[in-house]
Amino acid sequence: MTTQRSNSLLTTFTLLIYWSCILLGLGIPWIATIAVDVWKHDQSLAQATHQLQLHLFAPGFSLFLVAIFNAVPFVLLAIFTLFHLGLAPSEDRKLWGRRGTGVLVTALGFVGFSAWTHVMTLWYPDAQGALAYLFLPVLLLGLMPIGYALGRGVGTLIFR
Amino acid sequence: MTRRQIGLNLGALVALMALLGVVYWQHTGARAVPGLIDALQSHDLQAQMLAAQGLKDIGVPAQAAVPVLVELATANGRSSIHSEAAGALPPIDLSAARKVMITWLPKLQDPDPQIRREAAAVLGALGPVAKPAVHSLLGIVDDPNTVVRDRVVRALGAIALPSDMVMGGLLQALRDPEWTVRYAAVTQFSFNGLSSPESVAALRELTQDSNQTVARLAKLVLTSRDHPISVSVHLLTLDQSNDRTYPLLQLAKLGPQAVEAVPKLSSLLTSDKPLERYLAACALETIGPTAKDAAPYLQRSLEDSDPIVREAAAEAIQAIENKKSAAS
Repeated sequence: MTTQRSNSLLTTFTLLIYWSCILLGLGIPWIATIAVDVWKHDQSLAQATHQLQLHLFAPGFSLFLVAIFNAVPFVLLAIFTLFHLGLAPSEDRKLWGRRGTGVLVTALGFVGFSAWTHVMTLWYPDAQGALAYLFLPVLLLGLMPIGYALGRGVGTLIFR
Repeated sequence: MTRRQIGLNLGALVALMALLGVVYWQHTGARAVPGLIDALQSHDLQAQMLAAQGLKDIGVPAQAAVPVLVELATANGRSSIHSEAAGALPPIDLSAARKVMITWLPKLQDPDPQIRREAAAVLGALGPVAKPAVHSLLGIVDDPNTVVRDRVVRALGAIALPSDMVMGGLLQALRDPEWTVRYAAVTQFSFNGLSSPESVAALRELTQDSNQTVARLAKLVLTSRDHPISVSVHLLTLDQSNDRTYPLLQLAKLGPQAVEAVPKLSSLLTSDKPLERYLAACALETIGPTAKDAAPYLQRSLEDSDPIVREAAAEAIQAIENKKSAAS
């Protein structure tokens, strides 16, 4: 009974990271846009949402495409998580814990780095700012093994 | 997790991606037109302006939006949407763009400087399609109102054709008493192929201008003249770019120097985009007698479905033949 409950918790954890990665990958650029409009440009939440809606498919600066670009590394991390944690033997708690920490640290790193980049790009607008949207996915993919190694190291310390 | 659970979650991800793909597909190309027309008819200026830009990018398939765009571009009152709506028209419908031009032309003589300013801005937004408006714009290049003169200079730069007439107006503007107008005039010589011995002399004088901004820009323009963009670069851009408007206009500005582009320009006379056919004909017109190899293609363009393209083809043929007889 306990093993079954524990397995179910591990599955929930895996799926939570999987779907959070996908949805945050898509949502971070939009959330950042709304947040900057509200805090920097003193717009109401409704106005900021309207702005987002207007620019979703705007020519030249489509926030829909920005979200898709941003989501690419997040989706790859989500798929990696699904297989890496989903296929891990649940009875081997040590291994599972280490893998889980590795994935969790990577995901948190992705979210933090992506959110920071989007907010900064919008907060300090620049003619070349849009380049950040192109480089960010590549950078995140490059950071993936580093984040995982770091998390795995932390996991090794926790799950002895 | 079981393999089935993994498979289901992957399937859900694929379904989400497919859904996003469908959403994107629905909002691009001709499928987006009804939504953009609704946005044009809204009372939200920003939504209207973005919709006009979107329709401009769609081009010919946005034909259904033409009546609304014409209405917005010619509506009474002062509105920033006039220029945006007018600017969207040339890639969609040349005749509609000309209709807007005809509506705004008399307003260049309006006693209200705000209206003259707006008229010049709208004509500039129409770009090379507003070629017949150049004569009227030149008539107010010495308008008493500074902002009107500034808009006229910018409009001349955007229309760019016929280059000799435009050059005359810009040369006059280079000596304008107001520095903002001189600055606007110098800007028109940056990276755009417009050049003549008179303009070089005037730009040299401006390097000593009392206004440092003007003087600096004039120096930059003169420096960039040492590395002009060659015809082959424009031809390469024509082959590689989706939007051929810019390289075609650059070739048209070059005139006889662009003779190397005649075969490419001839082939573009059958483009499915009327604006490209129009600009190709305009470029052949400015090349003149050395574009004689294009004459058979231009003859065929006299049967073009678009009256503005037919008119441009006729003018090009005339330019080729007239100059040919003058030379012989």
